[in-house]
Amino acid sequence: MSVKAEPWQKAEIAGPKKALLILKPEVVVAVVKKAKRPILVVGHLAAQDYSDDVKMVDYAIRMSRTAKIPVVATAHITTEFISRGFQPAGAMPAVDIGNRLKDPEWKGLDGEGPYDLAMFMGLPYYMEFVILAGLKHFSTNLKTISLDRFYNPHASWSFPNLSVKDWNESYEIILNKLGEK
Amino acid sequence: MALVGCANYPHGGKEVAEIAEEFAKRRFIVVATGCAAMSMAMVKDEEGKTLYEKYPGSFEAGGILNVGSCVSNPHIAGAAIKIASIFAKRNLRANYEEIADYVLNRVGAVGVAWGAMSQKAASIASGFWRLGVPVIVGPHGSKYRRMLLGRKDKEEDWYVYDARTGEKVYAGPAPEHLFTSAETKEEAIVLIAKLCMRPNDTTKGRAIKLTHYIDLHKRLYGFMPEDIHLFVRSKADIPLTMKDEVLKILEEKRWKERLIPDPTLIPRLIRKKKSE
Repeated sequence: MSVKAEPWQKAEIAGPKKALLILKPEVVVAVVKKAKRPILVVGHLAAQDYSDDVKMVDYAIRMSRTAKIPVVATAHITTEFISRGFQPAGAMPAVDIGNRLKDPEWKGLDGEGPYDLAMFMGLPYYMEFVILAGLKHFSTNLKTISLDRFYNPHASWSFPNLSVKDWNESYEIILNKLGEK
Repeated sequence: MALVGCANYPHGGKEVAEIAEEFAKRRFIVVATGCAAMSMAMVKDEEGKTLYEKYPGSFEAGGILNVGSCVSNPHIAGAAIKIASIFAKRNLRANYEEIADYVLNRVGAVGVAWGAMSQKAASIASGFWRLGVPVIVGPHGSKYRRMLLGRKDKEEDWYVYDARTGEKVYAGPAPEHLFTSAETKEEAIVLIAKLCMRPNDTTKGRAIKLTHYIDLHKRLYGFMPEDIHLFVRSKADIPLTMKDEVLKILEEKRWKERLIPDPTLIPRLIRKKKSE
């Protein structure tokens, strides 16, 4: 695995506090297992990137089913979920879910309290960048993970810049260790 | 609906033309300025026609009007201001507060800066939202790092004064946001239809707006919107062709009929105080 902790977007300075690198996929597994109220935010690119046979949206569904994590679908990715027979827990614009996650008094999609872990995938890099920056600075009790294959420095944890192959392998390990059957 | 702003589109200028055509077909008044107006002119259909050739270039339902350059945007704001002046006889001089209150509560206008990137576009957008016109920017617009987002789940945020009685009444999240960023063209199209709604819509007007919102939501997102109950005030608001479907949702959400107010956020515009 080639490791690069450089933001995918040039000339964006994230400040002194930067995301910890996910050098081993087991880190994600440990954080997810420790979280009491995790949530997965999936953007429209999950159905496009990264290649014809590797779609993030399929990984999102597998992860949600394995670890029982609610999924928030942004933009029109809902159609992809529905066509795969999966019903997301919620659907709203990416900036809206970012705004709600920042609010410690938000009761969540099910009304049972705020989330303590938010994972993001499939959003345009620059959009996820600013949403994670907002959460880093203004949320009170939330950890974030960027599950895309690009280093996103505003998350609490982020994959380094990875090849599709490495990213794919990492995800298979995550799902395996989370207990996918 | 105004298509304005720069040309920093996420997937090229074709999307601007697609957004414009979607709403021209639905008989919205579509206006365009600057780079957005130019991008629309560069897209031709299979007969070699641009949108400006396919739709009337007049300020009317179903028309697509090229207002001019980017600095011609004040003409669009001027049109909204004229509604307050002509229909409600609001003074134009030193009366920004009342005019913005009128536009926010009654004029169903939405601005879209799909490729916004410059400081100039940001200032134009802020000129519109301070007038009460919601603005949607493309995904690159999120880099402005400042949105004006509403929370439809917080009921207490959506009360207005009924100018007839002075009572505070729930008006629904209309418009939900004043400045927001859409991730994709599809999301922008649904947002435009939704942000057109205003507390003072007539039942007929609201029914038409809901028809567009529900239809676009179902087509582009694949399911019925989950917030319809917030926008239906009386049963007359429900689009005729969707009555059974919507009534079922209203029942599930324990919806109750409510008053259509004469909405204002300015206490001095209340004509009759509650105690009188």
